[in-house]
Amino acid sequence: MAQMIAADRLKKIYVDAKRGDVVAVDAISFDCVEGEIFGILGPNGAGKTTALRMLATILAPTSGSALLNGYDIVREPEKVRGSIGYLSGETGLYARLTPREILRYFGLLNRYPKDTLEERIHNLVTLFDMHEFADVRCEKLSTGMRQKVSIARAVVHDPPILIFDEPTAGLDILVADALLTYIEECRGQGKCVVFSTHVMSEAERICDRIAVIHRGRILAVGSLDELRARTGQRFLEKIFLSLVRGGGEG
Amino acid sequence: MSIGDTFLVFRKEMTDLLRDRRSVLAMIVFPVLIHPILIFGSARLSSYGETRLKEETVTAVVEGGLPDLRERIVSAPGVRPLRARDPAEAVRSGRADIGVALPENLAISAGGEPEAVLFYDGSRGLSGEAMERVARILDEWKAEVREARLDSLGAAELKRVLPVEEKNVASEERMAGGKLGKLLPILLVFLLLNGASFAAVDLFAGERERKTIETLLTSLAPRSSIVAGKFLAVAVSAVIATLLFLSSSFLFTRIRWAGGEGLHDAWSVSPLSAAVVFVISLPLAFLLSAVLVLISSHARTYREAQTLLLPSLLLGVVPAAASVAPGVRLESIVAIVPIANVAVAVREALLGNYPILFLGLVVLSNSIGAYLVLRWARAFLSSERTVFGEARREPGVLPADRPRAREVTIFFAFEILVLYYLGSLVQSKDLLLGVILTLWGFLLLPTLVFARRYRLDIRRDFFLRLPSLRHLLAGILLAPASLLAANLLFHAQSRFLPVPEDLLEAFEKLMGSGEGGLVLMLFAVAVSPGICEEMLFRGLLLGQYRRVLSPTRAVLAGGLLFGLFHLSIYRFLPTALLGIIAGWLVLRTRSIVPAMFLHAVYNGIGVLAGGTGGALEGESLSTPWIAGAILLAAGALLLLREKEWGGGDG
Repeated sequence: MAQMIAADRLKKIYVDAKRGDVVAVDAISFDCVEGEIFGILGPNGAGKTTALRMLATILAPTSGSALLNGYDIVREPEKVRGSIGYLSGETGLYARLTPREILRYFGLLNRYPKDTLEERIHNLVTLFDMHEFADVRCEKLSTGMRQKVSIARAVVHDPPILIFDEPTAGLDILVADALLTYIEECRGQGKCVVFSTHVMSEAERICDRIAVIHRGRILAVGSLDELRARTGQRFLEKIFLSLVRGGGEG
Repeated sequence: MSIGDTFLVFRKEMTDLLRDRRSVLAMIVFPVLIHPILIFGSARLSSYGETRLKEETVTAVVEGGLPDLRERIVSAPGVRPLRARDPAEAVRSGRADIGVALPENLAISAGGEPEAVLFYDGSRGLSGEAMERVARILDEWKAEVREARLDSLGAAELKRVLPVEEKNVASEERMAGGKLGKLLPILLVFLLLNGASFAAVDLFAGERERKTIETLLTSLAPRSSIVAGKFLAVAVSAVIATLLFLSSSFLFTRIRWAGGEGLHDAWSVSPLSAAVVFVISLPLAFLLSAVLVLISSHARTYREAQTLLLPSLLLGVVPAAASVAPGVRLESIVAIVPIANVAVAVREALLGNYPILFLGLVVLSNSIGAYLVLRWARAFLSSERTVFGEARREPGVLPADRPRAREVTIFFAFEILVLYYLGSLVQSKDLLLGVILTLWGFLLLPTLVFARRYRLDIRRDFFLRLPSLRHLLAGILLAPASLLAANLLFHAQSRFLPVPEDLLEAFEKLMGSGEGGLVLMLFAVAVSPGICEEMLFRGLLLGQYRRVLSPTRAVLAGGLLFGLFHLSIYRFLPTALLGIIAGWLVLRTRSIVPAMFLHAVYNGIGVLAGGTGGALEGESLSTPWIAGAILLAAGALLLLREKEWGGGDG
């Protein structure tokens, strides 16, 4: 299987007026292949968002680099952007546009072929069951509806890599479940999905491999079974705690 | 940058804006309605106010003789008499609107010519009205008396000497333009800023607050296209507001004219004027949009952006007031001052004057300004700080020193206010003592307090070290050449920006006032600035700027602020030049003292030559002067050639 993401010692340092230098992400390396869901698991402030933002070329790394679909995030950011769909839990929508207009806007911005764009939008509207509200301004939609629009927006140009930063944050169980199901479908289509969360059960359910991240460092990477073997714990929560507390228990 | 993406972003943003009630108000409704509302409203209001005053009854206290005149005043329609012992006191206390003290008779005595005194309260509209009414009665009465006297002398032909008829040669368009030209530029700038500011807030700070910026930045569209498309939407909002305002003004005045209602035709706009005004406003729309975008992109939230934009809205209207200032001509340096140039050009265009060369200069300078600001904005917008609006900085930039430079600048702004209000107040009481008090009390003292508050080391941070004799001498020798250079600059500048007479007079008054003697004069105008101004500018400002800027930039920034500090557009360049030379000298010698001597001698020569105003008028620009100054400067440079020549550390 083709390697889609290869992060190599990615590092991000901020200078904070009060705290001085803050190492948000400390030289993390990992890779993922097509058809894989790669989970990044960590508590709030662990560096998940910063790491994913660097992959998505929103932030420039202080040092290190990463290849996405063969493109370097530092040297060829625009090519990287053409290969990814990015979604975070706090992503907003244009309130005064309709879902269909938003999909059209991002389809065109991401160079999706014009002649097939309307068909693609129609398919997404069907897939996410958005017919009822596809032409209603987003300001009038419920949270669940909006999240559907956000996901459709992230994948409208059919990118090979999906970067989802805590996409289920703030969603009710039903919508979150639908989202996780969709992510699993993406795996079936051969997409490479990077998925960050601090919810253990989500990671247990869908991730093929998990990187546990704490204070900007990756403590361990592997499938759930590999992590169990390494820590001697059965549940991800225990695995996580054991890794964070020094990883020496098992 | 991709044109297609730019257009795509632009189209989306315009759709977005046009669906928002607030932006439609700012961009369309307000510009269309403001002219009719303002003109109708103000015309009605002022005529209503005037009519009201005319209809009011005024209370008058009349004292003294001349019974027929007294009778005439108190029995005039709309006048109610009041008895009071002191007419002035009656008016002051508000019981009467007008007090009249009449003489007992008209006979010229040894005590002088008899006169009538009218007491009125200028702060009350009704009292002013009463004064006018009574003055009119007095004039009529005087004319009658005069005529009766002439009749009794049998000199009827003396009554009519040189009848005068007033004829206004201005065309209707000119009259209309003259009146409208004062108000329209201010309205135009305001509407333009208002129309663009909503878009600027919404498309930059708003996008960030709604958390849609990340998705936009992970799209394939290049960041330059995103910025360009958004900027275009802001600029087009401004242009739409401008266009609608001008069209509405034009149509409104035409319709009223045709309808013959004739409030005044003072507000009409000709088609050519409207077109020229629109064309010269275009680059300004782009420039101001770029500035607003830059400001808005600094804000983290919608509300912060609005808070930041409000003062800029008010500040932006200030230069537009140049259109109201009578002496300001377009054929001057004003042509390249943004906003003010458009305001004056609009005023001229409304008068039917179209100086093509200067209009071209206006368009050019605003276009260049827009380009520069936009380039700055673009660089800024693609930085991470802009994307997330968080106070995060990349490592390598000194975080700790920055606030200090910023606070120093705020302190400078505070000092300008102090100078403007307190300084001019004490100087109006006594010029020389006022200057001394301003410099030592309002300038040096706060500077030292500031230094203490921020725990600055006066010796180190203010370069307060004993210089070598050589450097000291160099500072003194540089003074004549600096003055010469400043003079040349002043002269070159006065071709474009002629100095008003009253400024020259004020300067001569200061320099030439013999009161207090030469010693006091030298102390006030040469020694004190040399010490106090240097401590603020070459000590505090330069010292702190030097921590965060390169030497060149620190010297330039300090010099320009020094020019600004003198609060006169005419003195800006020459004083900035002195500031730059002094700043350079400080960094070169690592001591502030040579710069103090330079400054004091520079001003001192001005005082000594000043009785004739020579320093300012440039009578001193004779060949021996120039040769001498250059020779001395060469000597100074020679003395400064070696860096850090054994300077003691004090």
